[in-house]
Amino acid sequence: MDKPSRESELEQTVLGPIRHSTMPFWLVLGGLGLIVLWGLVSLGQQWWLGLGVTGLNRPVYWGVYLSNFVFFSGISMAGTLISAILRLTQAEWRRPITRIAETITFFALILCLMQILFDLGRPDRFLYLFIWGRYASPFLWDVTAISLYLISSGFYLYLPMLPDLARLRDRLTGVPAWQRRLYGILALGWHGSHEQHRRLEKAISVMAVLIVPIGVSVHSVVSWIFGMTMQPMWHSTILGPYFVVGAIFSGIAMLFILMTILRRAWRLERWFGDKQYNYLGMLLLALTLLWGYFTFAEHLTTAYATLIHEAEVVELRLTGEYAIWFWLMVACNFVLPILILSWRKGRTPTATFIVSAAIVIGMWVERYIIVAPSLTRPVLGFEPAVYTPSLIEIGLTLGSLALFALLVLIFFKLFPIISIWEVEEGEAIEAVKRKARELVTAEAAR
Amino acid sequence: MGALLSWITDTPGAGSFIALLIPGAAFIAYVLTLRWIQTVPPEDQKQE
Repeated sequence: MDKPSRESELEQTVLGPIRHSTMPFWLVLGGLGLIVLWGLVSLGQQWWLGLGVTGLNRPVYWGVYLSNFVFFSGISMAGTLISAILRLTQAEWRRPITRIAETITFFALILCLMQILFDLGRPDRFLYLFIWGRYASPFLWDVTAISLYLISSGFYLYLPMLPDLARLRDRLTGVPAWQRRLYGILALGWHGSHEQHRRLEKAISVMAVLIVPIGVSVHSVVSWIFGMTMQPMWHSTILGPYFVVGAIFSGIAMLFILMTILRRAWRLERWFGDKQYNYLGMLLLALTLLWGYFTFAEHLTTAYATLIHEAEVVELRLTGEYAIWFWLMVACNFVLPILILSWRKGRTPTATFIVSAAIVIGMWVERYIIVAPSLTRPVLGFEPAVYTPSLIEIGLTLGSLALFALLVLIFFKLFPIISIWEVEEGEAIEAVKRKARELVTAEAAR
Repeated sequence: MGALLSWITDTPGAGSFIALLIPGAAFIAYVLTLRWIQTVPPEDQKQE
């Protein structure tokens, strides 16, 4: 493989943050570290004193932790959709953003699994699933689907990194020796021959096909954990597709947030450009409408039927105790995105960042009002209850979000944020197309 | 068939086996794929 003696603009931009870090980077890292520390202290308190320090009670045995679990599993859909589906449809504009989408998937899944440990109270009981698990329980389906998705998305993140890791191993200077050794180990002896590239691309294509049903299965199984119970507004067949759509929706929003922050911080404007914001913005708009449709369908059918327990929960959401959350969710997930994303001028980095931040908040609220209100109105034998998250739960929630951001940031401090070889390949394809167009035009003019 | 299905769904531990088997099998397949990519000889070695 030919090695140009000087680095291209892409290499300089992408490798810059790996070589040296600015003061704001360390300040952000420190700030996130402090919030993670708060989360750790909260976790320590909870493990020491028991679940009694949370707002959980009978019959509200699931609260913020389960909302976080569904939220993070939803965010993890980003990589599957952006990377796999756009790769399969040969959308060329996807090339600069696939790495960041795949990274979000992997780390969001780790955070998703951690929420189960928080919710268990006694984390050692997690092992019971692997010792006395019965497949009649949807929890075990969930363990199967999420572990398969975690392993698969880790592999799907790692595979396209091989050529870039070899490039770092061979060319990156100005980094500590251990870092270069790490690249050497992870590159798996990549030498970039034609045959090796052919095999790599074949493996990536197969994984792109496989990861889509695996991702959909995770979000479906997560919804079935709710759907298999007899709780009001959970026992519904709409929950599976509703969760999948919500997952893609929040995944793209999280991708926009990270893209915009890192674009500004690491000067990536040329690669995270207008095309990416415009096309992804349109996709987000389409998902806004789809999400609105599912939300409307869910509430219309249950409100119209007026089954006693379900009517109570609908009332709680629309006009009762949770109404403020419900209408905040509608404003964040439906009204604001439609008002802004419907216009070309609304699909700019700043505007999409604002919309995406609103959607991420709105989608967390959606998870919360799916989990909490239904449990406060139990069907069997309990009196109506109240649930208010405690400071411990808030600490662990903010700590989880900070840990997610921290892990992503550390990952991109060590590895390229853009898949360099894929972008270069895209530029080569574009150059060939341009040349072909020139030839055809010249031929026609003759 | 029905008895087998009941055994799979209701036996404590049988479910755990499935929950470990599926991701475990995928993990092995991914490692083998990496080996398949890794073991391609470099072009200069193939010419020799």
